[in-house]
Amino acid sequence: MSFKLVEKKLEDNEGIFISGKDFFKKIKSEDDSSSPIKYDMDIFILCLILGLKYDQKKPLKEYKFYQSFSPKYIDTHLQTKPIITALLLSRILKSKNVDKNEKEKVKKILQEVLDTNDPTDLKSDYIDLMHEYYLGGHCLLLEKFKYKSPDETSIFFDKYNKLITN
Amino acid sequence: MKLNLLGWKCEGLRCPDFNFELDNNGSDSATFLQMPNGTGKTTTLRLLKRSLYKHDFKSTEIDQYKARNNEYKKEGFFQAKFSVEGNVFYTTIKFDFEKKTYSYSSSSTNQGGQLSTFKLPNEIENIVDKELVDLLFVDLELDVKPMFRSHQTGAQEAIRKFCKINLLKNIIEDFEDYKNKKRKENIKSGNIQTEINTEETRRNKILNKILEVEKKAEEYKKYLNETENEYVEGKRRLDEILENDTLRKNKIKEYELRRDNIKSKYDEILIKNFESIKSIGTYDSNLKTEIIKFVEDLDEMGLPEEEVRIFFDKILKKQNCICGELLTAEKIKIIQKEMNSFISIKEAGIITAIKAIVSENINKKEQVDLNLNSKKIQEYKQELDALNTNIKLVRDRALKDDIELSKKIEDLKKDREIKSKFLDEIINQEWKARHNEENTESLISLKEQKRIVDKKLAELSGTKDIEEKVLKLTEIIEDAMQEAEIQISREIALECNKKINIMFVKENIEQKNPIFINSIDKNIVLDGQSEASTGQEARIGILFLLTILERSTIQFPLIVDTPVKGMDSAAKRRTAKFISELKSQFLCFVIDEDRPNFTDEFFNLNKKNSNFITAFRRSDEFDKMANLEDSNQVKNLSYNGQVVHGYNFFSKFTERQDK
Repeated sequence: MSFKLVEKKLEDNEGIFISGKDFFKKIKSEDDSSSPIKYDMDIFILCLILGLKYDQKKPLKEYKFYQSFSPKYIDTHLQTKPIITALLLSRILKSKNVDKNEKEKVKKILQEVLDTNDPTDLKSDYIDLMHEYYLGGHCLLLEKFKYKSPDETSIFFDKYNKLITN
Repeated sequence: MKLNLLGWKCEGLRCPDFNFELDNNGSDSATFLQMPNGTGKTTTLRLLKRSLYKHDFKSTEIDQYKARNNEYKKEGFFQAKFSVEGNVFYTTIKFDFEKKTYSYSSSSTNQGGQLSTFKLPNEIENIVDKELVDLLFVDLELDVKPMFRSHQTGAQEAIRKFCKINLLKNIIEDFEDYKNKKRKENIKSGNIQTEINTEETRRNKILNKILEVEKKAEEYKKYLNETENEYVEGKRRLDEILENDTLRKNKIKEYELRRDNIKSKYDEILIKNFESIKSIGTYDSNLKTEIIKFVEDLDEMGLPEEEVRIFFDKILKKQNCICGELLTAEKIKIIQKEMNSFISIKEAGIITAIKAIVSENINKKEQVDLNLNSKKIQEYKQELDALNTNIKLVRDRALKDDIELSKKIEDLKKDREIKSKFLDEIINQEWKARHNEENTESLISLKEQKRIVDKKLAELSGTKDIEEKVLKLTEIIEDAMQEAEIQISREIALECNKKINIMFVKENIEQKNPIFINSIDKNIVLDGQSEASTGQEARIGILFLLTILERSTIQFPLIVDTPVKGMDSAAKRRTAKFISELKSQFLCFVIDEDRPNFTDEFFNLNKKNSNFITAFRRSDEFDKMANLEDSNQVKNLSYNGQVVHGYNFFSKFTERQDK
């Protein structure tokens, strides 16, 4: 399993959906030398954090994805991996109504979710869950930016910071 | 051994029917051929080249040689005359413009008779090929100048072509073909074949991407070369204007200094802000509360409990249980079941890492206020924009009379930066595990991806042994190619510098400031300067080509188009003197404006030993001019073209009536 960016919405009746690459195109370091957004992984993480923050998920089957850009967290995101795993575990426990008083159940869920052989530390179904949150974050950004890709890195982070701390 | 071009003849083509005899005055040194624009110089040069190797003419190309309007004929031909060690040989290309076909024929004095195929004399047939011919026919703008540009590879390619280093590439390709053939012969069944098919598809995608990137790189190189003069000249002109406006120049400098300072602060805060966003727990948000609670819950539950699993694992390795009884299969099963209810050591490792990072983000890292970051980002951005506007305003004021040029150069700069970055950085980026054929344009990475896929395919198809051997041989050949190139480049640079010393210094061409070659890598790197004047580059470029050509046992002619284009008068005079010192046959195409300081200078230096030929499409004006000429001058006349030999006519020929 691996990380992918969204390419299009399968039934985009209004024709307003913007792909993961296009939305960030003008504020990536290739276009703006000041931008800290260099890799596709940067885009993925920005959307994922937002999706988790607002607990927004979108069904994968309604979207088409680009080919995978990486099978694992890239070096600059290695420190982000445990936090993402923690947040996903926390959401899964919540969704299954399991709390700290049910240690055995918690352990079972940990075994069910974690895959020590995958570089993401997650089993395939939960990599999908991570992508659902990523999509949720991407769609939220589209909505907040009124379905127009941002032109300026400074404006993007101004809005993003507000969204993430609200 | 010597290969000389003796002349050529053409009929029924787009250019007028001409018959050129270069050896009329018994000289084989320098020939100046004056052809006004629109006389078919491009056609002539192209067909001269095609006369030395077998070219596959496409119907669209054949169409380009077809005579226009009332000069149209169903058939046409081009015949070139050469000599090797005094033995004359001909190559004829016949065109049928109706059928859009062509045919080659050859004849040689020492091989007897006419052959209805392309054939060079035995002495040179294994040496002369398309790549070598490309070196013999050069255009100052297109071939010589790029040899000095850092993003171009003209010099390296010239060395590769002449020294046949590329032949080794063919061997590598043969190995590849053999390997692929063997792999495809080893058909497997079921899932393995499906996997092979998937990998083969990926391999094709990578190969296509490599071709696509190589094509893009060539286009970018061409663009950079074509815009070089316009950009350099334009920039020089703008710099001159700014340089003369001291007040504004100083103001711009001051703004630029402040701008650079603010930009580094802006870049820094953007990076810091992004790092903070990733470090959940360093700023206030519901996500921070959530991870703190998650870790607290884990602590309360006593997770991870890896030591318990280790405890069970240790028991299982013993003969007796801790109660002293023998560990039977049944007991082992019970212990294993119990052990599996605890998370594994590796899973515990993941949980431990979560706890460590959360603790680091919450307790050790500096806590940040993202809103304060936003404020700073906006402040720096506004200041940056204001300074950029100020710089632009002052520049625009200084360049108010050249605003269009300024805009053009600015656009060119941006375009050229993107393309240079692609050539210098993007295609040379290192391979990364996350790369695939869609997310990278690095040739290095794509080649590595291909190698990985090849390895996998070899494993799947059971051709690992062949794959490894081919890889080893390829590595050896590539190393040899690289070493040969380095060695040859060094030798050529040394040889060129010797020539520069003799010709430029001792022969007094550029005694004051001769420029020497520092090294030849992809391009010719000059000693102590990034580039030279047009004239200096032309002379060093020609010397470089001649030095390469001299490495052969055969002395080749050098045919140069536009030899003094863009040069000032002094540079033209130096080039004339330079050519007069050359030992090889030298032919160049000129126009009437090249005469003062160039061909006139050459004539004064070298009266006897040269050919001055004028060729033109017949018109009343030109015919009248030619008729007034000395009747002793050799003239070749056809119904639509005329070739006149001799300096007298050459020096006077010009078009006076506007058509």
